[in-house]
Amino acid sequence: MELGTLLERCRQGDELAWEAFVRQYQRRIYSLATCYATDADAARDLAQDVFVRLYRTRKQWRDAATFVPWMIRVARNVCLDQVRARKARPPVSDVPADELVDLAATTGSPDDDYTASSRRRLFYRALRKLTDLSREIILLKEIQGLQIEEIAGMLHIPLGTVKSRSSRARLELARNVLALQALQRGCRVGGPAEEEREAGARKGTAP
Amino acid sequence: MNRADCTFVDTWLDDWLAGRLPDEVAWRVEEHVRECERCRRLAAIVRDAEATHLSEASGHADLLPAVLDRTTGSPCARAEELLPALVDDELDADSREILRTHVSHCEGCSRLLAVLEESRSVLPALAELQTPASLTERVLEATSRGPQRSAFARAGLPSVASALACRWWRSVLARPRASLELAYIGTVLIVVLLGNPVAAFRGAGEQAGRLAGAVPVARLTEQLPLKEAAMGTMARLFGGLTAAANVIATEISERWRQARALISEIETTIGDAIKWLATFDLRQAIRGAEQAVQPRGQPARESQQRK
Repeated sequence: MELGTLLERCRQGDELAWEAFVRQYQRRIYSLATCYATDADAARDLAQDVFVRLYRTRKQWRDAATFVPWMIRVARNVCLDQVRARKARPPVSDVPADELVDLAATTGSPDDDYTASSRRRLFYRALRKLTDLSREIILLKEIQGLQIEEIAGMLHIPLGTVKSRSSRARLELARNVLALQALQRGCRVGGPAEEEREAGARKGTAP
Repeated sequence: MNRADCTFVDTWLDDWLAGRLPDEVAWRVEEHVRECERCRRLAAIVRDAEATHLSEASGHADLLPAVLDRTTGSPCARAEELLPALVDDELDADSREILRTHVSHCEGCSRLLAVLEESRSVLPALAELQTPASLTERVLEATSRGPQRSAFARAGLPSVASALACRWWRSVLARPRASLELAYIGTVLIVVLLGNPVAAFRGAGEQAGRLAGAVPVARLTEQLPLKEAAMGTMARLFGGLTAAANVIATEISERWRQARALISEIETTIGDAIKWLATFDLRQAIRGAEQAVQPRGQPARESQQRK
């Protein structure tokens, strides 16, 4: 079904259309929420809040052409509200989010999947080490695929700044990835048990 | 012969030193060089010059860092700045070639470029993550499947009033001590509507004692064996307690019935008030009030004319 039709039916209060909409966009909203949340439970609650906000404002939904950037803007606002509230009350959980979020890839052979998930996890960790602005720019531009003009409007910064910050953020991310890689290699050299565990995981057996 | 041979050696000396001559020519050159002092010295000079040249050529790679240190400094910072543009294919051909040359000789920039290129495929894959199984159900429960109309709306309040009431109610619930306050109000309401719950037990003890003592125990023990007498006493005691419980239950059910009646009366009154508000016509009310103020049998227009 075309997005425009789906949106129109949701606006009219069609429950089935709304369910289809949630199923279509939940992975995307959840992914966005994980970048602002402290753990997987918080990300799920955040994603739920985003959908509730979208549902309440369904009469104001944009047309299909500009809907997705608008939806991401709404989601970001909900997440930022939550972040502000969280700053007043520090999070309870200390578990790193990337250990709770499912980053597994299921597209190729087990070996390929293992490699792909490891790389994703590495990038995800590196992403969470970035500064707030750099992380948001990577999230909106590279991950969610928004245009530079849309990001500039959303973050209230000039177009040129978005471009320069984007390049800088990508370099920062790449450096973080290399640093984490070096750290992992160091751990691996130091601990043969780690290698055995990884080999076991690759074969799908317990170490 | 000797002179002619020196010319011959001058011609083929370079090739002889490089080992490129056929054996018989090389043998003639070698024999002459062994015998001729002048050609021997010439061969030594050429050999040394080549050795010096080779060492200079091999030292060329080490020269670059020293030159860069004394001129522009390391180009890595500039190269790193341009790497994202290289990945995005935004550089012109010359800049691309120059940067590629640097990257091919610089391990650090090469690794950074590899990660940047990899990020182009890995980052978009993070746009959609596997959600927890319960997310869809929770969202639907909180939105379309959940209660659509608030209790205020169901009670017949207009939409604006219902929204305001909902907002007020949410603000009340958001208060940090809301649960304590609600518990207090609830307790007061129960006491007001049902009366003091302790009052129901007030006569229970006496009644139980009266029932249990209806048959004197002493007479029972005289007539029956001790065990049977004890069992009989226990049975009577239980009977008394049961009767007392029945009295309490009856009392509570009576109070509850009264409370229900009171609640239903309040509901009816509120419903009537809402209906009255819904049909309330302000203009008609004003007209009625004006008529009530005017003297009987005298139209409003006349009174205005007199004025």
